[in-house]
Amino acid sequence: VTISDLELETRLRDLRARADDIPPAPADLARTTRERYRAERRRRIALSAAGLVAALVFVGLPVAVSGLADGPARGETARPSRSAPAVSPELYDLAPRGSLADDQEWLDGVRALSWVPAEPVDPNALPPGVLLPDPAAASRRVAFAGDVPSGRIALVLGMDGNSLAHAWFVGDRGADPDEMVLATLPSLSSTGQALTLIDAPSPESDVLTLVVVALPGDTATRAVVPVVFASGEVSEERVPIPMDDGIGVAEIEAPWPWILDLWIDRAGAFIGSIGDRTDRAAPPDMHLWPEIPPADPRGLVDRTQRDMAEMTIGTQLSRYGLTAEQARPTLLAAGPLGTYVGTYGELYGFTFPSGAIGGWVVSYTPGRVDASSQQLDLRPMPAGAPLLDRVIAVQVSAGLLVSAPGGVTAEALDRSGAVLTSVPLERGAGSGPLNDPGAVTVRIRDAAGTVVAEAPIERFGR
Amino acid sequence: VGGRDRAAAEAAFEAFVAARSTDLLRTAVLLTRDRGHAEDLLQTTLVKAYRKWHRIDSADPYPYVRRILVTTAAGWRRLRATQEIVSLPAHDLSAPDSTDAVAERERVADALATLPPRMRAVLVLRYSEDLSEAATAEALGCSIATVKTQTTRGLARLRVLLGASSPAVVLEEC
Repeated sequence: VTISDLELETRLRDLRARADDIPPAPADLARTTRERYRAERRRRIALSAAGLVAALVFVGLPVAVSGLADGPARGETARPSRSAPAVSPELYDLAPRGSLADDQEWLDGVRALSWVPAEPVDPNALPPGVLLPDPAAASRRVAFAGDVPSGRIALVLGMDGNSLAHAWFVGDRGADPDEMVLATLPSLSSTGQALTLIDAPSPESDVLTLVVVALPGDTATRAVVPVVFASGEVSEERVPIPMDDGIGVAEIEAPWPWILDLWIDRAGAFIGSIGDRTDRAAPPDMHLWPEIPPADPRGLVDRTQRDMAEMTIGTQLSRYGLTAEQARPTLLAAGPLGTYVGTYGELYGFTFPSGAIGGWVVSYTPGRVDASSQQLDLRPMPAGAPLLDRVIAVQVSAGLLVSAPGGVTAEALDRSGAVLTSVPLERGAGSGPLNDPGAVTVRIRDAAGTVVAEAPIERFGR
Repeated sequence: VGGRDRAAAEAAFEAFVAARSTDLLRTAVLLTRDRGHAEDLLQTTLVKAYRKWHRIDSADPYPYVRRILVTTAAGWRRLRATQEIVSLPAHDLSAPDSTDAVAERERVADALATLPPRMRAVLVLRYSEDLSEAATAEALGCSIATVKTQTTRGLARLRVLLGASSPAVVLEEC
C-alpha cells in the first residue's frame, strides 16, 4: 500500500489536534524563567571571576616591582607618569588596528561606550575585594576595531589605576558605535599578553570566529580537536592562525573543544593570552556541562554518583569534540573498590567515529566533601568488537573494575598465573578491592568454571 | 537600560509568556514527543529569549522565539544519547482515548520522533504549524530549497515508517 503525500500531510496536520490536548503551560513560567536566567548568569560570572583572579596574579607582581624601581635614583629609565600607565602595556601603546582603524569618528564613539554591564553584577559572584575595572574614558584606547565573520568587534583598553584593563564590544556587521554592546565582563589584562575573543553570529551557529590581538610579528597556532584513528592512535595536530600585523582572525567549524588550546609565539617564546567568549558564542547550555546521562544497559546507574557521570562525560565529549549521539557514552561498571577506605569507582566507555574505543574511570569517596575525586583516561583501544562485547579491566584506587560480556567471575592474576583476587560479575560488571601491584591479567569464568575470556589489566599509578 | 525601560521590558516579557507559552509548548511537544522534555525545551527557550529580550522586535516576538525553540530542539538531539530518543515515554494524554484516530496519531508521532531533528522540525512547522515554505525556512534559518528537499525526504521517510515500501535516505541540510 502506498501512502500518498496528501494523506501523509493530512496525518501530520492531525498531530496538531494531539498537541492541542495537552494542558496549558505552567502559570509561573515567567518567574521560573527569570530565576533560571539569574542562576545561569551567576554561574557565568563566577567562571569569569576565576579568570579575573588569574589575571590579578599576573598583574600584581609587575606593579609591585615597578613601585620599587620607580624614581631616577635607581638609575633606570623613568617610567611614564600617572597620566600614562606605570607598566608598559605594549598593546596599549599601539595604534588601532582592524578595518575601522582609520574611522576616527567610529573609534571615538566606541571608546565612549560604558564598561558597566547592562545587568547588575552580583557582588557575591566576584572574589572578595574585586571590582570590575572601569577605566576613565580619557585613558581608553581602541586596540582593534573591524568587521570579522561573526560581526563587528572592538577591543578597548584602558587604565584602571595602574592596571591595564580591557573590554570587548560586539555588534552586527556595519553597526554604529551606539549599536555595539559590551560582550564580556571587563577584565584586567597583563603586560605582554595577547587578548583573544571567541564570537559567533548567533548561539545556534556551527562556526565560531576567533580573534587574536597580539603584537606585530607574533605568530599563533591552535590545537585541532584530537582525532582517534581505528588503530587507537591519536593525532593531536596544531594549525596556524593567519596573522596580519599582529591580528589573527580564524573561523573554526564544529566540532570544537570547549577550551581552545592556543599557542602564541613571540620571538620564539610562548606568551600567555587572556581569552574571552561572547554570550552569542556560548549558549547557556554550553556554560556548564550539559546533563548527558550515560547509556546504562546493565542497570548500574543506582550505584553511581549522578553528578560525577555528567561532569566526566562533558569533559570527555568536549575534549574530543564529540556529541553524545556520536560517542554513545556508556556506563560499564560501578561499585565499591576498597574494603576499608570506602572508595567507589565508575568505569565508562565510548566509541570514537573511527570505531576505536575510549574510556575513563572516576573514583571518589561518597559523602566526603573533603576527599578529592580523580578521573583517569584509558588509552584508546583499536576498533573491532563493540564496546559491550569487550573485556575491560582497570585497577584504580586499590580496587578493580571489570566490564565483560559474559561470565560470573573475574579473576585477577599475576605474571605467574596465580589468582590474587576474585570479583563477582553481575550483568557483565564487577568491582572489588585489589591492592596488589602485581596484577596484570583478568580472567573471566562462566558459571561452570570455564574460562571464557582473558584480557590485560589497565593499571594507573604504575 | 534605564529602570523604566527595564520595567516595561519585564512587563512585555510577562505578557508574552502569558499569551504565547502554551502555543510554544504545543510546538515543543510535537518536536520532542514528550511533555516533560517539551517543558524543559520551552523553559530553555524562554531563558534564551529573556537574555535578548531588549533586542527582539517588540511588535511580534513570537517568530523569533519560535526560531529559538526549533533550533534549540535540534541542538538537544545532538546532546542526548540515542537510546533516550527511541525510548521516550508515551505522551501523557489527560484523557486517554483508545479510538483508532488517536492510535493513528500516536503512530505518526512515533514515526516523526525517529526523524533527524531538522527534518522533523520542517514537517512540524510546514504541516502541524501550517507555515509556508518561506516562513519555515525563516524559522529554521535555512533556504526554501532546503525546506523543499527536507519535506520531500521527510515524507518519504514517514511513508516507509508508516508501512509503505519505498526506501528513503535520511539526510540533514539545514
